[in-house]
Amino acid sequence: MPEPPMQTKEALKRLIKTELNLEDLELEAFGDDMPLFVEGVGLDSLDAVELVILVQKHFQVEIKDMEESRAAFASVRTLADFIDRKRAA
Amino acid sequence: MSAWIHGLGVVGGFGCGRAALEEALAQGRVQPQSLAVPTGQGIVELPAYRADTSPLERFVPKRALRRVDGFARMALLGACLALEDAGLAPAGNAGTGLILASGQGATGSTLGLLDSFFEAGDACASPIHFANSLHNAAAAHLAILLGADGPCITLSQGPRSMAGALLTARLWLEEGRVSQVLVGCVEELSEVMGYAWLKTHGTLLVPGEGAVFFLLKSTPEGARAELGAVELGADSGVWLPRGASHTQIYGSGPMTPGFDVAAACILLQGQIHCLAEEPGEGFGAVTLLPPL
Amino acid sequence: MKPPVAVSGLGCRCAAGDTLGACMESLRLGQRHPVPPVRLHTNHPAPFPVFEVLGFEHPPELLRTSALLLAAAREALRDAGLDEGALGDLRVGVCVGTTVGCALSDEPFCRAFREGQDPNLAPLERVLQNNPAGVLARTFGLGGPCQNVVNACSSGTDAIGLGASWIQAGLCDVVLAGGADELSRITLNGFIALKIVDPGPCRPFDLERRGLNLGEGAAVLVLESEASLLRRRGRARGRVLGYGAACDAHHQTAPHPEGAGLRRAILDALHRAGVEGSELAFVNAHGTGTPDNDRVEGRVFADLLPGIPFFSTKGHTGHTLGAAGAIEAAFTLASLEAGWVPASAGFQTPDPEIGSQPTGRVQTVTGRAALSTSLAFGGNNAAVVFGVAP
Repeated sequence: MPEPPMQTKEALKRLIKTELNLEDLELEAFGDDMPLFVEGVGLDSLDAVELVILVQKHFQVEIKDMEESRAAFASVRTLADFIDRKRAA
Repeated sequence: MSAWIHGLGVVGGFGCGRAALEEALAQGRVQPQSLAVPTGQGIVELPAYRADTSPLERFVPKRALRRVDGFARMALLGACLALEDAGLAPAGNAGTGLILASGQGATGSTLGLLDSFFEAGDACASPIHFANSLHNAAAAHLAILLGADGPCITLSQGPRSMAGALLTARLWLEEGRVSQVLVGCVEELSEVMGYAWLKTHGTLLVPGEGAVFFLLKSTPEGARAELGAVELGADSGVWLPRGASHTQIYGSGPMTPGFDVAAACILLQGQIHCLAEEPGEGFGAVTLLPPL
Repeated sequence: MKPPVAVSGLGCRCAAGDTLGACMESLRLGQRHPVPPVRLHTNHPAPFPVFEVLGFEHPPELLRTSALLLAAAREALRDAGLDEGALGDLRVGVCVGTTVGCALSDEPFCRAFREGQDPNLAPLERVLQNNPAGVLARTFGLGGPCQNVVNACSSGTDAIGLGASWIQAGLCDVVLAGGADELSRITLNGFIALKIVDPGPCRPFDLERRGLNLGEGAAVLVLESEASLLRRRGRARGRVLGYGAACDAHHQTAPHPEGAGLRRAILDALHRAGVEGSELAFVNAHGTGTPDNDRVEGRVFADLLPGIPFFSTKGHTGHTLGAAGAIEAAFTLASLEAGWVPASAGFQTPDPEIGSQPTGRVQTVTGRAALSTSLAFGGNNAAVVFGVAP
């Protein structure tokens, strides 16, 4: 699987940090494979639905079913990959 | 049955905490800050008493405040200060009741919610802004962060909101629903409410935002003041001598009745009556007495 | 324990019917009509079904929420045999739950503000001056305490509990207690954004449930002291026996996974009512149709109240937010009085994760008491035990 373009991952990190108000998370420390939910970045179900809206707004990718896309939400890498695949389709 | 005030927490243009309000009352006047209000003619700087909630860092880790909006931060700071004033920690408050009152609610988050779908369509409404725009969101943040898992209610009745909240607090104590309750009122001077103020009063009358919280118990030992009669009704009949209003310290507007009760709690040298009246709408009256 | 409070009148206006009687008939027949909204419009790709009160007209200066409340209040007062012109002779309080009725969120106003058009303040003033409790107090010339409860989805239940306290404390002879909320684009957009709205008709407690449908409406209970009822030779339709409330203190939008606050609220209400769980004739659940709510609530019922029939009426009314607790209180009292409960609309397949299932058909019930539960965003849980008329 080719690496997603740098822009999507970096854009996602910036988006998550600013829009979800993660003041104390330094971008340099925000690993591509850091778990987004529960541990790692520590997001929860309310952040998840906000993230869906942010992905829709900034990448024009719609996430209809939270359950189906659960795997995509694991980390920045998996989410960027998901976004790039949907955009290419 | 009496109810006793064991702690007072305040935040407004004068700073935060009992000592800051005491000092401000002694000085007699506080210089207002300002609010930048967008209008069709450009930004207007409205003199206003603004609340600074950065002292929250003393009580709650910053990360825990991530989704807590400005309105809820004022409430949280007020509540933490009331607990501190009563010698209690801002955690482990199992069984504590929570009553929050606000005439206007979280208008900052409301506008933030509307912005989210004004910009990008209905499907892009922000769920976090929506959750925060609900009147009872602030009380929810307080309950979670302070561990207050007793009954929790948010009330709204314009300038009579504080009186209504105190009446409810008394009832809960009398009914044995709680042995202690955090009760307060909050009003936020968001951009849109600043605009409304400007349009109604211009810059001559200075508005104020902030929060006032009391920790009430049913026991008198260690109390700062006694909560006497609390009444809500249609017509006060002008039978109560009123305590003073200190608008040169905390401003005019919907938060003033709440601040008046806080000031009365500090200036207590005999009974003080605080009255909030809306012509044609009714009144709320709160009586405070010195502790035993 | 404090003495019970009489309920001398009931009024209800929602998508299920224009009066309480009409609502109970549609519950009995299992009729429901969730359809895309008529009065308002969103630009989502596909419209979500709602439970709208169609054909309801009101003067434009009144908020729709307050107008719905007024309609329900008038029915309740008539039912109680109280002349609305003579209420000034009694100490009458007003305690009403709402969400939209106190929300300063007029869209055209805010849009114009954002675009620098310096809009007129009339839309804001309209909300501030027409809050639901204030409208009742002003319309009927009421002199007692007046309060809006803005506790999200448990507001109606909390308002009834608080109003009952006023009676028991001797502050009022009568309290008009209830709730009201209108359908709003803003709340609709908000709930859709949270991904808890079913794109089809809601299915409370069903295995395949996908979320709630929004609705609108109002209900009012005339709460009255025994002394006042005796004095005017009125009759009670039922009683408020006990109210309990507790906060999960867990999460801003999700309920405590074990229903911690709900358990305490139910147990406190039962204790104050002097009623054992096993004595309950039935439970009118909150039952919104969301995966989380129904799982938590259903499991609490299975654990605390095994074998007690329960159902959700939101399959007939939608989730009416601030009105829900009040509408469901009216349904609970009417069911207790008539001795039957409806099938839980929208339910077909039990969910093994819940471990209990709601009523599958209309059935008779016997018993002197019933429970109504409400769970709100922010983790508020409220429960009221209602009793039959003495």
